[in-house]
Amino acid sequence: MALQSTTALATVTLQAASSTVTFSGIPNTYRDLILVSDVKNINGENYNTYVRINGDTGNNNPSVIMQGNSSGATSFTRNTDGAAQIGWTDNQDNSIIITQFLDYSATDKHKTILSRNNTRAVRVTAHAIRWTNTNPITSLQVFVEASGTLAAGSTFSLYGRIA
Amino acid sequence: MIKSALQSSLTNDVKYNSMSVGNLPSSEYLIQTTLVGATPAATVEFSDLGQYAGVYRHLQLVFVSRGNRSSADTSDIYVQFNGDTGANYNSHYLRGNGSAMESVAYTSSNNNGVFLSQANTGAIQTANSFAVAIIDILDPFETTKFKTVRALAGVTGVVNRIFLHSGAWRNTASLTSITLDDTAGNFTQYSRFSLYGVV
Repeated sequence: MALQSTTALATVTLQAASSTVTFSGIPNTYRDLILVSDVKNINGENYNTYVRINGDTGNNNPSVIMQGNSSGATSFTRNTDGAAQIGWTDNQDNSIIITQFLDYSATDKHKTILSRNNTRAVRVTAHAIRWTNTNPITSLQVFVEASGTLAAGSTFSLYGRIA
Repeated sequence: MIKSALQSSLTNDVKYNSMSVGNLPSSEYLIQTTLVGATPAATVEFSDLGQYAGVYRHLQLVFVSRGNRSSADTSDIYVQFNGDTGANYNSHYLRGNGSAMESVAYTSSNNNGVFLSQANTGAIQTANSFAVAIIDILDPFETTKFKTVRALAGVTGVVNRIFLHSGAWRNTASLTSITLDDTAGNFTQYSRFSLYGVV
């Protein structure tokens, strides 16, 4: 019998503004993780939005990004933020960010991550990110740059997928 | 047990204060996973898919792969349907390489499959870096339309790539097999290929 592949692990809906949202104690019984964020900040437009993996604050998340905005389509790399940038948020409308952590529980590879971001604040983006660590992912912390704040009403849903 | 730092709101008296919230109904099912062992694999095939016609509406293929193309940091992959090696595929991609954007189209001159340019690593890509892709194959069992494919893919290391791919197999036959072929190398150990059915 075919196995249902995806399990909803947790959903957080912010009742009040918060600096971070953390999923910890993630079990290694799935193959992939999917984080769906419907999120706004209280700070302003075009705020970098991050996921910190396993509390790693080092610049261990090299990424390549492509984006489209009113200026055209561009691509750039980054690895200076001490976390994986998964998109941008603003303080007017919710951004949708879908981030997939593939083979997150494997110990034989770095963790390659794909993220897609749609935000009213001027851009649509896609990201490929690599957490340069062979440890399984056990925690994910979402936050906004420059000590920004996630707005009340933002939701974060974490799913595990088997393989 | 996972402890979320912030709890969700009460909804219908169900409070999610634990990661063990129980399974919710899912419309996606695992069909098969292939893991590459110590012997590199030239191709990976999902066969006998005709049994799923009438069961699933769409398919999703997820891979995490590394290749051994000699002296190269990337390698290309064909996604071939029903063993068709004819000039029956179209492929396009939008690609970011970390400094510029590229947009490319491959037309009927492209045989062997939907062409995923640089979707695998080569032997000299950064150690432990694996390329990943999530490929949607829409209405694969319909006999009234060609088969449309879209993909999100990427890799980082000595070479950085982020892709949006689209493609088509210009055939109305119901899908019976999918073959992934590294065009210039093999898939190496710890590569993983998973096929899911979506109702």
